[in-house]
Amino acid sequence: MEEASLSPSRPGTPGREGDTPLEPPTVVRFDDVSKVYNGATTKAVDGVSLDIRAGEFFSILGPSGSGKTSCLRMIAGFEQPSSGRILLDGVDVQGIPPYRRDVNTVFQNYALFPHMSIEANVSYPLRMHRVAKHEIDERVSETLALVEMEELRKRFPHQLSGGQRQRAALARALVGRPKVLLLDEPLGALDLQLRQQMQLALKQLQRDVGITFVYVTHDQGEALSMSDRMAVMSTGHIEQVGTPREVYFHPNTPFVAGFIGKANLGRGTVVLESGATVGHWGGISFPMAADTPLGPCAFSLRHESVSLSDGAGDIAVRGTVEEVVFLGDSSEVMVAVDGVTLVAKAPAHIGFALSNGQAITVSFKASEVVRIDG
Amino acid sequence: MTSPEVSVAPAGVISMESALRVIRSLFAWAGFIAVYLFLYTPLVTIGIFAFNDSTVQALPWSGFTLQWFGAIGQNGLLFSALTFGLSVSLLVVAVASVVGTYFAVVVNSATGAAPRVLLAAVIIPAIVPGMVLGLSLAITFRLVGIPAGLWSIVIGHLAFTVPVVTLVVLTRLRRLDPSLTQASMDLGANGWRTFWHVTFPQLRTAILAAALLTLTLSFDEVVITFFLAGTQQTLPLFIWSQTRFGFTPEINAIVTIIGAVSIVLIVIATRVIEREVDPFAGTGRKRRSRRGR
Repeated sequence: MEEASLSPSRPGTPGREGDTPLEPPTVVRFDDVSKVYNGATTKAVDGVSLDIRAGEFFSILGPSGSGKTSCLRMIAGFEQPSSGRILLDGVDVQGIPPYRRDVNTVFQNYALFPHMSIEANVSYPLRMHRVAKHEIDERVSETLALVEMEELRKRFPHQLSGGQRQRAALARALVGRPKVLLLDEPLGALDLQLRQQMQLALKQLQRDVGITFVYVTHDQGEALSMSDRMAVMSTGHIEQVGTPREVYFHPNTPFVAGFIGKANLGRGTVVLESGATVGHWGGISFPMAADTPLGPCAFSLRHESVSLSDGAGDIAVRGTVEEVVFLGDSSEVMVAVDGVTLVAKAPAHIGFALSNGQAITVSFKASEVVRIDG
Repeated sequence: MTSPEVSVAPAGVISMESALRVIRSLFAWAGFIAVYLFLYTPLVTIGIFAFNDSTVQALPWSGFTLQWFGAIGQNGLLFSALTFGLSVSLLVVAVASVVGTYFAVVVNSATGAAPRVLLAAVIIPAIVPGMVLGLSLAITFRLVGIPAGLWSIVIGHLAFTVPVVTLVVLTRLRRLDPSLTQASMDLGANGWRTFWHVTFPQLRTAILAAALLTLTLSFDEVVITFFLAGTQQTLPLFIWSQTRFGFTPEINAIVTIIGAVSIVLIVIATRVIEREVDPFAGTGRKRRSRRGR
């Protein structure tokens, strides 16, 4: 912070100093940030602390109303925190207007200027920063090439399809080479196929340009497939921060377990039985790691971790089929086992072969059962 | 025209009913036409006499002429009233467009209860009867020492045209996507540059429409002008004063010209306002409201 305040110019690109090669420096830091909107009684953002590192693709995932967009808007400078601090590159940005922050946003509705051609839209940030004319031309062409929009540069926004507008908005936000790119559900308005295509393109783009992306979404698929790390938010606070794999396989809270993917959730206990740590979930018992805390807890087991054959896991239990739900590419089979209903994800053809009330053996790996506090 | 087929079936009742229906629709049409006759006959009449080759304003038609249009230039008092009135209106348009747009932007960017209060304060002068506004301005100007003449009339006209511009521009402003201003700020433009590069270009047509409306409103205003004019009359005041002596056909000619020009201006103004609503807002607005849920 001190160095930054000494030199009026922007500090050098982070991540090149090489002080800690394993952990790049923090670009965006939330320091116990809360936000209460005027006239609101509850906090939209409630005590969020978060470090976003240079060059990473960071997603903030949560249902609507979880405060994720508020967090993004506070980074951009459209909203001010009610308490706490936000640091961009180590500098407290309280009171710094959006146009003096080295951060650009891709808006949900793209917010392309309707009276300007795509070219004029993309050159806008450069013109506002009074970049030299020849450099503007060069960088606009370069950036439009990056998003494969060179041929459409003379068009106006209303002459473009949703996907093209999306790419134009991306180009406009990237052309100024901001330290951080903020994306507010940028794929929300696109249809499914285009969305999946854009997911890949976005991830690739982020790797190519090396700019830190902060991506807000309510779509777990997007967050899981693109992020280096992600935060899961609910009712204004952060439930868990981690890599997609950590968040998916080791949810910290029942909310995360329930929100991401589909999981069997239930209450049980962990006890010590003749030297071994054992979990009890209804009538099902299974060994747990020796360092697992004892006492009542919640358990989570992913649908796809439950198998309908007895050989697939180390724990096999007998139960009866309660219901089979056909999902197209797969089936969800609900099996009643000793007071617990376990849902298994099975190939569709296996689901077809089952009937309600039929006895069946299901199995799972004890190591895939996650113990959750609360 | 389904009545013939209907009356084929059970004869008496239905045909009575259909006859009544015809009579009723005739009355409806007659009333409808009467309203239009009432509205347009005077306009057409004055137009006809403008081309009538006679100084007497009565039928029968005594031949087609354009001499009354030529006579406008020769009538010194009429011509100076026309040019004076035009200079008043052009000044009013220039000032009202700028001030009205400024008010609209201020009202639009204010938060809380302020917009409602500000807007009401701007609009009230436009709602107050012209007589009240004219008289109170005349008294005030006399107290302050503003002489009756060009500037007193201009100020008087601004009192009711600035609200018009404010309302037209504000309507457009409220329809603009707020994320566009945010995007502009996000991309490095401060408030002024955002207004200049993003907001103003999208207001241009609304301001143009408001200016055209202001021009027609100011040009034929009588009541307020009557209280504020000095020795030089505006065109409507001059025409009104002439009617007391029985007016000459060149007045028919100039009124016809003004009528035609104002109709054209108003059509342009409404077209501009309508077109403005359409091209950008069409898709964008729909999408916005869907997201709003």
